[in-house]
Amino acid sequence: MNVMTDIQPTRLLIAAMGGEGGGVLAGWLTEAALDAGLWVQRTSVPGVAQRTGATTYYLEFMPKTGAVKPVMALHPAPGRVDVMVATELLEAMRMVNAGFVTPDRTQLFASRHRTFTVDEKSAMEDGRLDVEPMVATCCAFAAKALIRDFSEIAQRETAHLNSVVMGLLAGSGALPIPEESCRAAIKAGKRASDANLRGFEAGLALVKEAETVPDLRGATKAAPAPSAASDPQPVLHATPETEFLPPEVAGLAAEGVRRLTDFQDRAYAEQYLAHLRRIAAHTAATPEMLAALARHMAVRMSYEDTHRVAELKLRQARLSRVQAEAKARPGDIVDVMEYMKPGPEEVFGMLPRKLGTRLVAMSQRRGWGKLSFPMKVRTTRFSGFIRLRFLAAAKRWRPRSLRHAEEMEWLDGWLGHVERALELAPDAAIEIVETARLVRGYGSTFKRGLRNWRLIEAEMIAPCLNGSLPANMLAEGVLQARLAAVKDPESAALDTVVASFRDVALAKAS
Amino acid sequence: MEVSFHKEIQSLKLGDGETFYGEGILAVTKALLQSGVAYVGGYQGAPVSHLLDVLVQSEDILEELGVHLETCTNEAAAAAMLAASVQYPLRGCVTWKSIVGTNVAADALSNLASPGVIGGTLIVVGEDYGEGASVIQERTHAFALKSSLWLLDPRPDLPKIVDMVEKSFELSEASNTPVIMELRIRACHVFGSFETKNNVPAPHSTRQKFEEPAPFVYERLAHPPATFRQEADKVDRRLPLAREFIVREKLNEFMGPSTGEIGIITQGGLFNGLNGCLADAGLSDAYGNLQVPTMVLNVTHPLVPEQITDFARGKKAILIVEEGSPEYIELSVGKILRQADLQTALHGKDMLPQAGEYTATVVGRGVAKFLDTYGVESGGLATWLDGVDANRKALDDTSSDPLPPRPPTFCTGCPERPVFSAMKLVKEELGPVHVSVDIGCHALATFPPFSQGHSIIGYGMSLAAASAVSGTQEKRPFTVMGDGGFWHNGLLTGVAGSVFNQDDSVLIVMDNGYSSATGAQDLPSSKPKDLGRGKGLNMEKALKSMGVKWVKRVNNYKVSTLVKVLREARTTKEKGLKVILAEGECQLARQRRLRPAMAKALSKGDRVVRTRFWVDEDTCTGDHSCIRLSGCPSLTIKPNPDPLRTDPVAHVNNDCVGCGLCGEVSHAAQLCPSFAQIDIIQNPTAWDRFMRGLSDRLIGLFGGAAGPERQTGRTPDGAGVPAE
Repeated sequence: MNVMTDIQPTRLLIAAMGGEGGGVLAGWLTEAALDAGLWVQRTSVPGVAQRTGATTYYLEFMPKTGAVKPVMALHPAPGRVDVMVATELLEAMRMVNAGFVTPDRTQLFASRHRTFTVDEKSAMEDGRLDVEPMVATCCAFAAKALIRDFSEIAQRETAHLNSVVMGLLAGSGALPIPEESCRAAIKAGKRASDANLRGFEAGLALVKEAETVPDLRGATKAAPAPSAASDPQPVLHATPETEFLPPEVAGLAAEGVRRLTDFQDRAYAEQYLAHLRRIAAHTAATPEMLAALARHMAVRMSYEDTHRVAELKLRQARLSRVQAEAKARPGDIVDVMEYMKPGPEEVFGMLPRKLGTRLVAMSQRRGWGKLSFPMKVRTTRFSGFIRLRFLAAAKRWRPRSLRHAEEMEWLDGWLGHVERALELAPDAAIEIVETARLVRGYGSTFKRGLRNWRLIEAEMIAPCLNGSLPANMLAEGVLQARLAAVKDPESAALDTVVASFRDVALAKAS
Repeated sequence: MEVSFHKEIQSLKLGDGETFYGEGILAVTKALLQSGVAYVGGYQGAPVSHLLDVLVQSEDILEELGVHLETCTNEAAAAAMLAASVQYPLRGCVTWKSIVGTNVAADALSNLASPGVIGGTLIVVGEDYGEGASVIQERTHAFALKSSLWLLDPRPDLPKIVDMVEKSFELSEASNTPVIMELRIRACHVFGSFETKNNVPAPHSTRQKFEEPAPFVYERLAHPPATFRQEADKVDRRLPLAREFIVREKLNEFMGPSTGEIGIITQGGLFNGLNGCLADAGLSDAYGNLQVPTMVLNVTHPLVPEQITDFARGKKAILIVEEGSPEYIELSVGKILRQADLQTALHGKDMLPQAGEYTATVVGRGVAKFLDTYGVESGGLATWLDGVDANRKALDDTSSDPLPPRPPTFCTGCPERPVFSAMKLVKEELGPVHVSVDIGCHALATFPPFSQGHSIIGYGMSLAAASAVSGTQEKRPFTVMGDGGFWHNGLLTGVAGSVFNQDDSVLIVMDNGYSSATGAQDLPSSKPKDLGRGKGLNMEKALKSMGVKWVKRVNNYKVSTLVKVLREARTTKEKGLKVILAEGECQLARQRRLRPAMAKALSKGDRVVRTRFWVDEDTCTGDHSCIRLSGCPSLTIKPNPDPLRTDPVAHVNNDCVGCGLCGEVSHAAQLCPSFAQIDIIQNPTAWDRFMRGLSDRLIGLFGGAAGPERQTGRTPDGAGVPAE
């Protein structure tokens, strides 16, 4: 029998998403290890399961001490991973959750950027996971953690993320592979080796820089770039005319005034201020409620009708954004073609109230609900530009339009409820204000939002405020209904909440 | 096929004493050539697709060695191909994904196994089991047992795998029995090395053809009464011959001390994981210096009773490490011990789980239990497992909500996504219908945001699976099938059956030109190209000639048209089968071809128009309907730049390939005006510049912002770098 040795392999697990280049990274590392004269084994679970889904690559490295080949594992083992690489934060978190990152041994290299899952993206409001708790957990469970936005570094270098990671691994000394072998592996790669070398050097630089920070576990604190996932908080400045409001509201109101002046004119913005002034004067009005009111009223009053859309699409700022995003090179010509398809409500909504009402009624009678006016407008060319220019200029007739009348009617109803709630159930006022966020978008989205809002109004707000249902249930009821309304696009959750509210409220009232 | 395997092909040409570096399945391919194989075939499927993919492009090697290569239309065809070895001394190998492929091949396998073979016959199956598997979880072992086929499960070490491939042909010939080699996913993809030998041309091949057919011998047919004699021959003659060979050639390995109180019997494929656990327990090390008697079954069927009894004799207990259910090996060993009247205690599924992949912790827990029961100190193994549990507990205390899953989705720009967007729109309009789903990329529509499908019954079987549904539902059922499934099975099992029985249903065939889910292999209907074997068979003609009257061909990216056609298929008075050929080339394959071509044209200074889509963050209100209707990976979200709004806005990232689905969907569903198409004219011509200048001047006259900025889009970054 042979004498047993206690040499252990170095074990590396890479978590990536299919199509991200994780396989290429694992390949480079294999080549580098061979170049360095190590025993290396690599395996993976590709197949169809990898198409943009979560996947892993597992490698083991061992020094060559003789001709006898080691027996290396095909599966990563929890608590037995020395180096963990994750190309995205949620995937890092998934590996931590699976027990592959442990405080006794695992060095974690994770990119802080997020690639959102379908669940997060398709939520009707904000379905994104919180980044900070994930970073904290990752740091807590790793022996050492380097968590930075590798994706941003890669973009800056116009390289691929995997090359940055290769640099990180090479520079960190976490693997028994010398830097030169890593560089050689990248150079020998099939394609884009210049770009990959740029990424590699950037990764090297990052790990060198991170090492100068004494506590690697606190690396997130030293992150130079602001995190991409936490939304930047814009600073809004108050103006003299909004100074009657509490400081946290004044800035929002000033933005509202600016927006509504742009939307229509100064007189329209004055209306906004008048509503704010009236409600702010109420003794039960809290700064929190006023902030929500200033925000949502401005958004609702600048509703997205055809004039507004046309106007926004002609903005110069927009064009420079397009050019930046398109990554156009100097000398390239960038054309923008808008996909627009207003339906009957949107088109007839531009007409004077009486005429519009009649046409909408007729279109409903004749089943023209599906009728639409598909347009693909090239706004960067004169023919497209002039059409939108006309639509934008026609906003001067907006105050007399059907859509405007409907919007003002809605606004009065909403504000009326808020004001009555301030009298009868002050805690419900902010919840009623918040319902405004349900009404937004275009076409079917707008109709669905309005339908949901009207349901909450008719079944909860109105009866509680006119005394037929107990007013003390209003705040909680409206909150629950609003949250339910964004659970599913079929409004099934909302319908259930509204029905059960009625049952409970009626039982209480009797 | 748009991928080139140049590097892999070079490694197939290595000769005596050279070193091969690569993955397991490629090593198998090389081993076939070293074994003097005369013909190779199979049907693609992860994790064995690579074997055929590489050979298809290795024409010079095949030509030189005289190997006949067949790209079979399904696994039944591949298994039937092995009939060449029934009457002729030809070595042949076929490959497919198991368990599904073996199911399809079962008829031919039974009829092959009964007469047996003269030439060595090997079936390499990718045992698609555990993490990464895409099929139902069953064992190939059952087929080996019922048809008397020998089953190899080699230790996942390249030299061993290669050796076992070579030995399998000899075993097959020595016992006149076809051999199956099962390779798990990770073993197929394991990277390693081995010392190569020269490739061996077969004595009879495409270069050395048989002059005459074999003489008529009734006994070689799987036909009664020969079948009765063949059944007896399997057990009376072939089985003992096989066992003799297994012992003589030492196919199973005995490791560790020759005696001991306890012992372990393991499937070869699980050895590496087992060794890791034993090393933790101080009973082995990183080089496999085992301190506990271990029998490694590189052949899991047939077992050699004498080997088992010799191993068990004098031991208090043995543990069988056998993955999956039922525990065939454990059952056989139990019978062997009983009949030998050995009192050695037998453990297996009492200590290891009945179902699921045998990962490190799973095997670790079972081994720890076994050692513990027999008073062997499990030391580091127990400490490690305790650590795993403690870490688990700490995690449960820390994190609250489960993490959102990240299942695979359609690739960016996938031509199948629009079909499901359209189906969702029609569902919103006309209500739900029964949807019968098939195997292929399109099965990804069972995941969010589409979340549809009522049954998945097998490859190419979705239409047949809807036959009784069509007769018992008020609403016409929908069936989805890929072009892969169509040629594999769907044309006969589904279309012919449906027309024959006058079923009233709708079939949507995804015509993307490849067997995409398995790696873009060519199909009979694939267009002929430089690489690959496409012959351009016409599905529409095939359908019409079979009597399908209602056949519509649609361009997948025209969502509005698709919606119209789907609506018509649901509502038309016309009875019988209605087929929609949904056309759009696999975007992965397309990009593989286009990207290099575009880069070449650009560097030559040719005019190239690059298209991508964009969401206007000023008009997006953050409802994300567009995402719920598309789910494209490049259609994502970003922080809302509007200081008055908080919900994230939709955003198209730079992976966009400009397929236009997002715009089409928002058009078809009248969602919103936020989508815009951006055309970037690179290397514009003088005419382009003139027209744009003219337009800018006119725009300027009407108060538009036409400045110099409009003409020179200066950004610091160059074009994106293509992924390697």
